[in-house]
Amino acid sequence: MVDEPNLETILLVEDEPAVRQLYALALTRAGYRVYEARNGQEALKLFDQHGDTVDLLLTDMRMPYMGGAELAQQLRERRRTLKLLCISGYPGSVDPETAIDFLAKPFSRDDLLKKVREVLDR
Amino acid sequence: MRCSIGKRARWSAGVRAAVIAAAVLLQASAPAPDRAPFTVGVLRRDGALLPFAAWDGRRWSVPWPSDERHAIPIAVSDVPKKWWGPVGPQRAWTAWLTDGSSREVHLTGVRRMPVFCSTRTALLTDYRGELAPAGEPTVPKDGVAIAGDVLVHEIARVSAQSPDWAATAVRLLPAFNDAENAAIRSFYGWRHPFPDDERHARPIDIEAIYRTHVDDGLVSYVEAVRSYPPRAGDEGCGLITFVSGWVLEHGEGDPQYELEGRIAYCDRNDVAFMQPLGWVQPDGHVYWIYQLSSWRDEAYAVTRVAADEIEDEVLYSGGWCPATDR
Repeated sequence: MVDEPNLETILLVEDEPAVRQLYALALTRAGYRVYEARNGQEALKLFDQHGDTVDLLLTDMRMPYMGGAELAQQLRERRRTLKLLCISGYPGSVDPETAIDFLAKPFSRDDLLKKVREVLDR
Repeated sequence: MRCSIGKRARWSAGVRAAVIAAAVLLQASAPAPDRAPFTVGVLRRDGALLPFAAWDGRRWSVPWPSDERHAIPIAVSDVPKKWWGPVGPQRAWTAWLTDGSSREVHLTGVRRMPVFCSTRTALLTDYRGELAPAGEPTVPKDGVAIAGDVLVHEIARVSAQSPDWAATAVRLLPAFNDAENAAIRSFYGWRHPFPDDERHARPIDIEAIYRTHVDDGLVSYVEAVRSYPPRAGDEGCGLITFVSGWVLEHGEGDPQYELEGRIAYCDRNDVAFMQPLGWVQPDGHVYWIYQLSSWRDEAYAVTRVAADEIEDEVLYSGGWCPATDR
């Protein structure tokens, strides 16, 4: 996690530890501040703490206890304008009501950064 | 063997310069860049091959699917052409094993294979490694297999007996402390039970150093841990801080660190370890191919490494089990 105040901030929610580490490092290297959560419940706590600074929720859809769709819905209730990008191996499973954008696995680093930029710039 | 060093020392500039000079000489003899396309797969000990990255002569892509909803091809000849990447369908692949040897392997089928609690579509080969030791959370990887023509080089594992190992442990300490502090701050409303000065006084153990010489320096990936004694309620398994990441050495300047810390218990839940599989140099740049795995997931990656910069190119989720703790 980087502490510079003016960086765009991503709340990354991913249950897979190795995958989360790879995504977090790629995003940090690209100049984003990244808060990491293992699941929806951790993400809600982090959002309570850092929500004012979070620009984008980047979440896996398939997680135990609270899936990405439910998390997205809860965070959207807290902040209607929060930008969402959902990662899924199953494009068809993304709920269009809650997940405006999705990124289907597998993807390259360029795919990830391009999509993140696209959603943040919209 | 682990090396435990708790106070700062310095790696002499002379030794470092000599190492880097040797690296430059080694690099100068590297093969000429080869821009031919190829596809990379992880080769498991049971002979299953999991393709995950392709090089088209200019850039990397991820043509092999990782989701579980596509139809399984009945035979190798039924694999959709786009899955193979720019190199196209290939029956013969070259296995580059982590023991430094290489051999040709042949595809014998295609099948859905379990990877942790999920499944992946894998190519079956005539390769068979030694029996996997019991208790492994996933099938061990013996190397990579390549369809196409590119040399795969070994990523060096620095010996725990080498002077580099001890020197790295000493030099890493300030960056380790920074990564640990950042990891602690990332928790919501949690204070580490050991205060800063007590934490920073505790030694760190280097657990792995992987290294490659690049044209103007050294690139290393390090894994290190600091352990804390169990407290009441820890059930005998105390906290640890696991720090891993890149150390870039360029000329005579101070090393550049890209480290990430994880706070965990001694069971190392949620900690990911690297298994280096090899490096390639298809366009003059050096790319590491490796697996990052935890007790319940594995991912495969291709990362471009240079003495002044690290760039991930491919990030591929290999398989996982859901977390069982909240």
